[in-house]
Amino acid sequence: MIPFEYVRPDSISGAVSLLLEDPEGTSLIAGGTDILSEVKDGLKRPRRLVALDGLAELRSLDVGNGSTRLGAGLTLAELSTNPRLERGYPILTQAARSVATPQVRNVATLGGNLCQRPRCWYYRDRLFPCYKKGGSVCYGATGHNRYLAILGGGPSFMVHPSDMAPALIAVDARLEAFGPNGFRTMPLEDFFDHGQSRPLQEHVLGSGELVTAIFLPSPPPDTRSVYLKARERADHDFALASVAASITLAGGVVAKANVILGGVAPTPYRARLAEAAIVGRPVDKLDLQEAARLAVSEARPLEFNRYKVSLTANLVGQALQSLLTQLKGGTSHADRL
Amino acid sequence: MSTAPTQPFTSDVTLTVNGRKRTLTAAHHWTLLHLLREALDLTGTKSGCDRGECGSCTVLLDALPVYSCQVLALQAGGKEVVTIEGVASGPGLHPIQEAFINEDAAQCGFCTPGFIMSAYALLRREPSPTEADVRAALSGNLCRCNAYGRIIQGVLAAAKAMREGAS
Ligand SMILES: Cc1cc2nc3c(=O)[nH]c(=O)nc-3n(C[C@H](O)[C@H](O)[C@H](O)COP(=O)(O)OP(=O)(O)OC[C@H]3O[C@@H](n4cnc5c(N)ncnc54)[C@H](O)[C@@H]3O)c2cc1C
Ligand code: FES
Ligand code: FES
Repeated sequence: MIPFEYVRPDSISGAVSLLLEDPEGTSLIAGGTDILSEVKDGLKRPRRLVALDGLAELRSLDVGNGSTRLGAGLTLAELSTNPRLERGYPILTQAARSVATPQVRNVATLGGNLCQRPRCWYYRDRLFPCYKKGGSVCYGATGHNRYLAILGGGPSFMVHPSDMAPALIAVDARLEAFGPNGFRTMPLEDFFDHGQSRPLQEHVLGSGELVTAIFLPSPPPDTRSVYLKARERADHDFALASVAASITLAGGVVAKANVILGGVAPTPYRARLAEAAIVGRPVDKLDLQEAARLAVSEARPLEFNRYKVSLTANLVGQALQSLLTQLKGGTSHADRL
Repeated sequence: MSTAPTQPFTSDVTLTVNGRKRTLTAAHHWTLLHLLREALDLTGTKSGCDRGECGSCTVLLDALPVYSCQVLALQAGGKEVVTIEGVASGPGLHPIQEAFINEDAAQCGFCTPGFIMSAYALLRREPSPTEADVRAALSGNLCRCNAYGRIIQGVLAAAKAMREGAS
């Protein structure tokens, strides 16, 4: 690994000042499970790493009745094992447990999971000056694209690697960021952007900004959610495709549905057509096969990833079926907080 | 991209390794794995992939198994580290080590220290694990020789021996 300076600020304001001193040459390090691999692989050459792991401000976990706050510095292991979180938002513990391995989850943070860089092998290989490294070509578009995007691709066909992102969006999470102009919040869905303007990141943070927390609204009564993930091995692996789905009923009718896909697009992908096919329908008259088909009806697979289209549709069908089964019995997540 | 400084930055770091407090000067870019193997000569912890993918570098950091190749030495400052050299308390072997020998749970043995550290963390937390618990706890360790069946048997045998030893 090339040498760098490791600095530990004692507040988030201190971290922001350090970021602003040398924005080009500075990277944040939380758990380090992604950034250190990037430095080792020569994808990044920071002069300075600014550590977030000492900051108490990022470490709180408040599960309440009105709203829940998850500090960006909580580890995925802490999220996986919190009983109150599991009662209120089982989809989040399901997603957290599906990430990587026990050793990674003991170190990796929520903020780092949302800000991690693509896992595409062209990106991870220093020798390919790809779009996501500031180049002009996505080698995956015509190359070995088995794991790449079937939806929303171009100019880069990367897939967003985070399992937490789709699950959090499915429960209407908001993200809090802190920077030179103080705090701001936004729907987590709006945080992700593989926009043309900033190819070197997959989010909208500006210079000197960092993620401080995630806010979760209380789930409405009669809400159920589930996270399903398809991968090659039962552990260790990123999603080939994943589905985070939640449904809210009111008087036997689907009042609200979130169907968010992971692992298939450059950002978490909202399957709007599938949602529209469910919302407003009586729960006993849902056509799940049709919703599953619609979830991928806009897919444009590449040469080697056509399998992902049916894989994703099947996963959507399974997720919705599981929600209906849950809704037929038992209490809602809100009642169990 | 910026150019790297030529003189590595260094700082003093104090951490507890296998029960002993150690203070040493570490370069900022050293991983905990590098510090253990190169500065403290604790070479039982192995370097396989150096990218968080194989588990051969597993150590306990404040009682939790982590990949020491993915933690900076300075991040471990003030914390407690246990390596394979620290699992046996007396002159003999730890029951998990005994069980790995008895069950023939290694072929080349390169993955063994990492597996034992994951198993050690599990059995401290859960003295009566099911086979599913063992599989989940070891899921972050790879064995290229495919000794998995015997490794799992070894951990279950160790758990039994430790329960019987304790009663
Ligand atoms: C073997 C392996 C398997 C994996 N499998 C999966 C998987 O199945 N699913 C999955 O979702 N992930 C997976 N990952 C990725 C893993 O989840 C991420 O590496 C981890 O979550 C990153 O968190 P961290 O705290 O270690 O981040 P770091 O490595 O410290 O940082 C990651 C990035 O985020 C930035 N950053 C960190 N915190 C903040 C913040 N608060 N504000 C702004 N920017 C910030 C850093 O600058 C850096 O660019 C895997 C990783 C490994 C090594
Ligand atoms: S050497 Fe650390 S996980 Fe492989
Ligand atoms: S015994 Fe050879 S890698 Fe496991």
